[in-house]
Amino acid sequence: MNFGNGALTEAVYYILLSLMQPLHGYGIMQNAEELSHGRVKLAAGTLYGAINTMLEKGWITALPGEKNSRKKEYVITDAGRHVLQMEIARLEELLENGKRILGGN
Amino acid sequence: MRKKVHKWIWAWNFDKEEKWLNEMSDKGWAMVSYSFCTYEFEKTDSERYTYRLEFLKNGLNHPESQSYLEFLEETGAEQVGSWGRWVYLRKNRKLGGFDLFSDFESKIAHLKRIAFLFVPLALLNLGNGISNILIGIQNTTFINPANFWVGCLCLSAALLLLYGDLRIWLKIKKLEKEKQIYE
Repeated sequence: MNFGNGALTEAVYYILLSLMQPLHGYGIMQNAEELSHGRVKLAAGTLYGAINTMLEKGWITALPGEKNSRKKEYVITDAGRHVLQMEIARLEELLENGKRILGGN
Repeated sequence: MRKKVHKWIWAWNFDKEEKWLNEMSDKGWAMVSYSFCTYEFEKTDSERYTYRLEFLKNGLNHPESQSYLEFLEETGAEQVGSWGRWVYLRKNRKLGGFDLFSDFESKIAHLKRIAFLFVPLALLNLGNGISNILIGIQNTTFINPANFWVGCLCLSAALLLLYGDLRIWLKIKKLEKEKQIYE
């Protein structure tokens, strides 16, 4: 459910970041793992579900691929960029409060 | 070299089935096909695979399932067998780790698909069982043995299915508890 200011899942966040450039499914998995220094390993089924949900929401779009190629490439949309910006603002708030209260180093 | 192994594994133990197939692969026996209760393995000296089982959202030949399986293939996985909506998938360990679900949400959704399938079957058997037993013992002077035993059989099937559902439900509860704290 979306409460208007809901947090994105880690998977969604890294998929959107990865799709700042056009990538196919396996490319997204590799990119997310690389960006997170091996911490985030997107499983294929989870990734497939997230891609379909984000396509429905219009956050990403499928690129018209070559006819012979079964591999679909995806890329972020303006709506997806907006969602990312909102999420980064939310994460900044979390980070600032955490550092201020706990004392960052 | 190939060998066949006959084995019955309850659907709610699919994680144990995965574990068994992976252990077989550790020993150099890679599963290559499945038909009812029969697993076929091929001896491989160098190749090791990670096996995963999934209960699909739709039938195997449904376009949605086909597009999903194609997507999995792009990530290096391959389908080696199927049974109804169950598919046996594997990925060569040289290509990296292989998991189907990496968050609580999708793990829970998968378990719910399996659990929901058992509910109507269990209820059907429960209804059949009770009505047959009632018919069987209705007339106290003449107990109809056929109805009675068919009823008992249905009732046992219902209890088994409900037990399976309970097992899956417990797994779901455990994941949902974690989900309250972690993503």
